[in-house]
Amino acid sequence: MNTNMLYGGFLILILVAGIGGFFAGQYFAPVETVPTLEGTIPIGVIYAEPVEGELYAQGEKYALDEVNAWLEDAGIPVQFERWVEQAETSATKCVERAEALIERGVQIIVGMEWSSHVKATKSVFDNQKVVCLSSGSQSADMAIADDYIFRLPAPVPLYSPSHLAVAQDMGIEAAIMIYTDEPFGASGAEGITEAYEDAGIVVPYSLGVAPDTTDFTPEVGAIEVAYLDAVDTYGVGKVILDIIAPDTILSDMFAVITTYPELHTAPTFVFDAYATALLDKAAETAATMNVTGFWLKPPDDDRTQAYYDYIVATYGDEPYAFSYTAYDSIWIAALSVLAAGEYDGEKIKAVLPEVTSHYYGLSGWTKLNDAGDRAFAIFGISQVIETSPGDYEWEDIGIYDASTDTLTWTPP
Amino acid sequence: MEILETIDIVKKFGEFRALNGVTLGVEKGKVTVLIGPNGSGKTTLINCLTGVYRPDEGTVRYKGDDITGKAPHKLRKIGIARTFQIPAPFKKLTVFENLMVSAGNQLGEDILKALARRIWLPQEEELTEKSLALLKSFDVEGKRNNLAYELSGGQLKLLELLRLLMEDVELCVLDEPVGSIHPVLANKIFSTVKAMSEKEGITFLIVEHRLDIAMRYADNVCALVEGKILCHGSPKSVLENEELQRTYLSLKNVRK
Amino acid sequence: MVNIADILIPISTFVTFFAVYLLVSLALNLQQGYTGIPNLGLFLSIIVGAVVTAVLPSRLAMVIYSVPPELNFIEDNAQVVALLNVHLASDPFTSIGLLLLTIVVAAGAGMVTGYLTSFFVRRLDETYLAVFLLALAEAARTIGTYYRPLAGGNFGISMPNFVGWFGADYYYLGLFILISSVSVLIFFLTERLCHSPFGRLLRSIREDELTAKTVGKDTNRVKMIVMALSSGILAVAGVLNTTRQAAAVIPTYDRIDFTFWPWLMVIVGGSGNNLGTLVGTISLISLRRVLIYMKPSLSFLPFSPIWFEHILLGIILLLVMFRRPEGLIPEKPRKLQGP
Ligand SMILES: Nc1ncnc2c1ncn2[C@@H]1O[C@H](COP(=O)(O)OP(=O)(O)O)[C@@H](O)[C@H]1O
Ligand SMILES: [Mg+2]
Repeated sequence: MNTNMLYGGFLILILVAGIGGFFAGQYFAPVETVPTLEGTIPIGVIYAEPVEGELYAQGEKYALDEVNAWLEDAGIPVQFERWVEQAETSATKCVERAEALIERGVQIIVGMEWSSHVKATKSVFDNQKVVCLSSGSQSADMAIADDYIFRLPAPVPLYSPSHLAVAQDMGIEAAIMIYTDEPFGASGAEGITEAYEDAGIVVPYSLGVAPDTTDFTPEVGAIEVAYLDAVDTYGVGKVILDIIAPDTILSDMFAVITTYPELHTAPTFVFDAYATALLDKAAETAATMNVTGFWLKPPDDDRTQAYYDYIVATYGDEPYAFSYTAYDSIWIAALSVLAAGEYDGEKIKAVLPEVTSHYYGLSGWTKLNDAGDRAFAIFGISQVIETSPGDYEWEDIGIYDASTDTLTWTPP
Repeated sequence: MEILETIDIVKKFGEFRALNGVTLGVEKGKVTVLIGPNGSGKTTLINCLTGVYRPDEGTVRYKGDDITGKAPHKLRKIGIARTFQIPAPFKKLTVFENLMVSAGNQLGEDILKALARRIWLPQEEELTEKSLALLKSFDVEGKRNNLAYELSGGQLKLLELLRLLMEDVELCVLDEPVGSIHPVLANKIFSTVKAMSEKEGITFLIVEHRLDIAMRYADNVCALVEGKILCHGSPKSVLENEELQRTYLSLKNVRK
Repeated sequence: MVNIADILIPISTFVTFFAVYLLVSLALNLQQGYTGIPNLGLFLSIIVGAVVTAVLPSRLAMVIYSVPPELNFIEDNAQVVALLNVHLASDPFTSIGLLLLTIVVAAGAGMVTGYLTSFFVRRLDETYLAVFLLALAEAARTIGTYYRPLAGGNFGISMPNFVGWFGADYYYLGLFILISSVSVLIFFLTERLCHSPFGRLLRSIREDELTAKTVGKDTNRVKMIVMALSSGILAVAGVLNTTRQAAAVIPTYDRIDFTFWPWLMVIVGGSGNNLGTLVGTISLISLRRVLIYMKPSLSFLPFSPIWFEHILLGIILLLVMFRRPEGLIPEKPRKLQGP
């Protein structure tokens, strides 16, 4: 047989499959906008990054089972299904995948953990009137009113009062701010600095570090000078370091701080609690310096406990900090679709804020602000503590409730 | 009159002096054949003359101008063209395209003019005729649509030569143009060379191993041994040089 | 009732995505397929285009519509974009003007970038060159990712909507017309160029640069022109993609999506001819899309269907490499007709 014909056939097959499949998809898409809800309804999921995506998936699958079991019990003829896509860290792929999911009839997409991906895909959501419910994006500059973007994690500015409350409780008088010089770190540091200064805590020195730095020797040297200067004025125990940086940078920085004993008297705040790389690289120093972290804390109740136990039993590890919002994203998506009465992004968008303001999930009360981002948060406060000789772990030491501005220390 | 002169050319590869002070004049309008044993530096000398290598020492003069180390494409523009010992065609271009691309001053090679067909089409048609005529004169027009890599060794050698003729040329430097070519075609090529030098006054500098053929057409012969000119003159005088006979001709005979 | 705009959306998203990639693979084909310049850093010039789009038209629009100077495009991005969108939606002339200006300036900036990189193209061997261009592009991406004033750093910035005047319902029609017409125009110009003596010259340099030199071609100059031209095209692709996404997110221009994929498209389609490039681009993009469609019904697979796409692409690439190394549409000899 003529090989050219064979390949020609292959080529035509690809083209026909591509173009034909594309149009066929329009017609055989299982979900058309139907006036009444029934059958299986997809919830689109796009993960920014494969490994992290699996951790979000744990919470989503658990929630989806709950939702579907409940619908069945209640005799509601609807089931939900996750249609999962991977953006493989690329915003371009994220856009492509969102477009394809929407072509297949998806009207709400969760996951969407990275702010850069949300930003690149925003125009798709807004123009095609499809809801995006992010369980990971926190960047302050995506806070835009009346768009199709909703975000469940605590946005960066929400963290400021928690830092301030703990600092005030400790009687801190000066804070040295250290942050990664990119939008996330910079806006976080800016918000916290403002909160400190408004409350009379001085910020004598701020240092932005390049996000791709790995050797922090010069930076830590500068921090030490600034710290000792401040200690001269305010005294030991009155000056903190406040570091807004991701886990990897934090741990690299602490690896250097370990060799600067003068700094070890400084109590230190970090942005995320449960930073594991920090424990791997500089646990002892972190414990000496009472490194304190903040995190969006799930309520202390049976439901959380059941989830926790299930995840530990199934996957052998504690739930990922953001898997709580991932869990909530599935419930909120399902409830919003049901409330809308129709699988239609525009209608879902209209009811979603009301649903979230009446939903109390594994991440707490999910009420959203005008920009569609989380309005209130209860932060867990944790410290690196030596649990047994040579063994260091993050331990919860208190709770800060941003909605009531109350700080409660957990009795040891 | 000498169209090309080299003065004390030295070319080193590491510590090895492939050319060790070559002084040579190429007479205008004549066929000069460069002989010498393998590895004596003939190709290296040609590479120095045509801008492929820059000599480490010495000067190359063309019509009195210093052209030492000038880039090959600039030398082509002033009339110096060359072929390669191992044919280097544009493999995935057809024979016809190989010729077409070798023509100079093409309007269609200017990126802006290339967009407007009517600017370059007349010239393209002219060149098409010219290359077809060339192919025809060597009875190879049947091969015009073959890709160059489909040609035999002899045909490639011919293609190398025809390529030179697509643009005005004053000095042709040919590196073993008839090596491994059938004697009938070899003679035809050499008689064409001879005719061109006689009719059009084109100068040829030709590296050639096959003395029987070369001597018949050469006006001058120059022998290069171990990077140095051993002797230079009429074919007869060079063949009679004793030292050359010892080093080169005897070797040749032994090989045969 | 079927709304015409609703049908347009999927067509527009598909075609515009394809149109952007077509430019990238065309540029690669000019460099690698025609001239033999192996470039692993295509995204360098794409980033240049994206940065020009991030910097230029919105700043100009801010001046034109006298947005209060205390508002900063990067720091108050959402606010500025909202303001500008209101103006632009009712001002087609300014919108088009700004967009055309951006395309021209970006193409110019891309050409300068290509011109500058061409100095390395002359001096470095193939392998070194490919890696060097990759490193250069990575450096640009790193700067774009961390230096906020350019394009908002790693989170990117939102762009005002330059096709808003089509009306909300016809936004996608606007994108479709704009992006596909630019892309089609460039395709035909490139095709025209490649079928002229200039194209022949490029292929001769690819085949044997030294021979090309000895027949009188200034190959360095030609390579410079090719680098400038193709980088200009890449920069336009950057503008179009930024316009398409209504956001400039520099880290998205990475070596996988904007170098590896285009290489795959050119290899699968057949390099050294623009039709092959077009077929390779559309095949891979459609295939990806079909796979996304099919994934929900692939749950029977023993592995997560998320990775099916990669496995299938791997298989296709292997098949093409082994059975048809010239690509689906191989470069054809340009035969001279007649007796
Ligand atoms: N590029 C090179 N690098 C190192 N040595 C070379 C190179 N080219 C030629 N030579 C050496 O220079 C000498 C002359 O070579 P060449 O000019 O090719 O000889 P011919 O053409 O007379 O046979 C040989 O010994 C060869 O090995
Ligand atoms: Mg030789």
